Amino acid sequence: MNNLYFLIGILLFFLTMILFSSQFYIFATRNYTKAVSKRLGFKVKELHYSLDQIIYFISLPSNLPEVRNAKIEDLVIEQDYSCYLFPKLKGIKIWIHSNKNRLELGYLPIENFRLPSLDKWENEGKISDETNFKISICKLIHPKTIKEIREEVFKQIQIGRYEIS
Amino acid sequence: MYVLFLFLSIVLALSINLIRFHFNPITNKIIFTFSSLFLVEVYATFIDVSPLTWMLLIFIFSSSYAFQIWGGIGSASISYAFLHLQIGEELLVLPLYLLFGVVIGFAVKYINKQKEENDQWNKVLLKQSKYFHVFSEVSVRMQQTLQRDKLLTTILTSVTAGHGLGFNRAMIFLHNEETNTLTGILGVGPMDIESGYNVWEAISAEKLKLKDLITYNFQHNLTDPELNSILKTIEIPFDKNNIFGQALLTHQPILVDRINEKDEIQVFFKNIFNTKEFAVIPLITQGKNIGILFIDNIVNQKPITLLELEYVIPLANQAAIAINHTSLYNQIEEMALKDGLTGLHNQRAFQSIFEQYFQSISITNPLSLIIFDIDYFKVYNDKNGHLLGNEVLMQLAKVFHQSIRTGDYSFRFGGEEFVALLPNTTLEEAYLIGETIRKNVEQTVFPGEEKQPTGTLTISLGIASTESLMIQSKNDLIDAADRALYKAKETGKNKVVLLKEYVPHE
Repeated sequence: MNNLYFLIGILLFFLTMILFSSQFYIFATRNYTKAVSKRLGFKVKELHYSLDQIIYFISLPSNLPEVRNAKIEDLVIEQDYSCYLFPKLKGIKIWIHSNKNRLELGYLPIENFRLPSLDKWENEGKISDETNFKISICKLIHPKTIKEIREEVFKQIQIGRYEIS
Repeated sequence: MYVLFLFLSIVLALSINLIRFHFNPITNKIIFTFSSLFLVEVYATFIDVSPLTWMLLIFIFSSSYAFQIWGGIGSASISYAFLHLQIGEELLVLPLYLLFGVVIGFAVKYINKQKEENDQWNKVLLKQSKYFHVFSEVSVRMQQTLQRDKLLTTILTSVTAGHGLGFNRAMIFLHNEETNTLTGILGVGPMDIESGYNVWEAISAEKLKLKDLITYNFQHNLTDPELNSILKTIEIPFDKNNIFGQALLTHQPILVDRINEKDEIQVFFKNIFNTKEFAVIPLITQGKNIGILFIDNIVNQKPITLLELEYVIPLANQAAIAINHTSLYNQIEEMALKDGLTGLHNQRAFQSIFEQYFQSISITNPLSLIIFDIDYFKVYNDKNGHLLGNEVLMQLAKVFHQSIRTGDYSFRFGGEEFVALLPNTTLEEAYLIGETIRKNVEQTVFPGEEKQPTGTLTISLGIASTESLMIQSKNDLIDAADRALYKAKETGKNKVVLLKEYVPHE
């Protein structure tokens, strides 16, 4: 019986670790970014980026009825982490529910989400590759960026890359 | 006490999570590993030490998970030390701990390796998926245009855009069959790193899409205009001694990771475009050398790999077909609009250009028309033969074309009849031009002209302009000029006649 309490305690310990690791990982990344942005005098929300590097798994514009008829709120944007206990953001998955099935639309790998200002600072030696990576993570998971990703993907699947003006 | 332990487990997990991500990955793992040891020790110290032997397996498991085999061995040793201090001699436990640590460490290592391989496969498939979509989208785009510049821009943008192949800079050189050289036509990309970042920042700031990017690149000089101004002056001889010729002759792309100082072209590119590493891809279709696609990463200095070149080749092949197609179309279009004998525009071209200018006429923007033909041309042909007659038409066309201004149009209307279309020209100005043509023809020595009734080859010209209020249509203007020409013929030939007052046919 005594041992059972120990096992439950250990189980709770690991479960809590796993369940909240990505949130705390993001929390720490945000804190780090805040410190760097204060030191370098920039605001993350003012950094420019491009969503050109999203990799699509369907034709643009799509001819699939389930994609064409999808509403913007049907799009699901999901953060993709490397593992549970020591998470690292790998990218953003974009998919929609179609007839109870999941239909993958695209993926944006974090290493492809480059911000010109950060690359320039890295090239000038002002920030390290690791710092560049952490700030990019903050920018990518920023609610405004997620909203823009949703709008961008919706436009692409409806109108296509070449016709958007 | 037990409830307190459960509560501590959760609080400890949250606290550790709060702290560990602020450190580097190794420290993060150490904090995680020892937090499990801490929890075990709390239980052993305050609740019950008797199950410590197997409870320490949790610590060994955590350490093996974090640091694999060495983590397993290290934590087994630490665990044994703790056990020895708290319970006493248990010699048999050490090999068991070590075995457990090594087995878990191996298992984790194996799983991680499998995961890494899967990640690698995913990356390759993502890349393939991206290139497949780039290729299919660009192919569609290329098929939608027959304008060479638009086509080249599409190719270059697809090679350099973020959603495309993502190279920093690309240039196209086309093969000139007459001079057997490769001529710089169009380039996309900066001249140096600084301007590269500025362009990228501007594109990102304005969230430019491909369509906008194409417009921006060339209308707003977003791409360094210096690149294109230099590029357009470059002519590279097509021979086996330079890298461009080698790529075309071997039909293989060439990756240059170090400039060969013996190759003048490579040295030239290094000096002019600051390139240290680049690739040249031949554009060839059906054995015909179309040109060269040049790519480099001037901004991020990222090395170009052979694998990346593999992805460029299908696009380059498609581009070569499209460029060749466009070139053939343009040749056919030109042939359809040009007179085969004289090289002047023909009547079909006249109708189209005349329509275009007639639509924009106004009092301040009059359109004038000169119609002329050769005096006694039938006599000339009868006495000198049609072959020499053709020679005269060709020579006359040259004189005619050289006598008009830039912006004026010269046409062979048919037979020995020629037309000059003079946009934004008054009747008086048109008269001066007409007189220039007449004099130049009169002064030119044509073969066999001495057999003409006047001893020289001359022309008669009729001129009309939309300045006359009675001219309401294109036919009116042609008719008016024609009447003036008729009058010039009737009143002695070798003269210019203006039709100032036009009365339309009823």
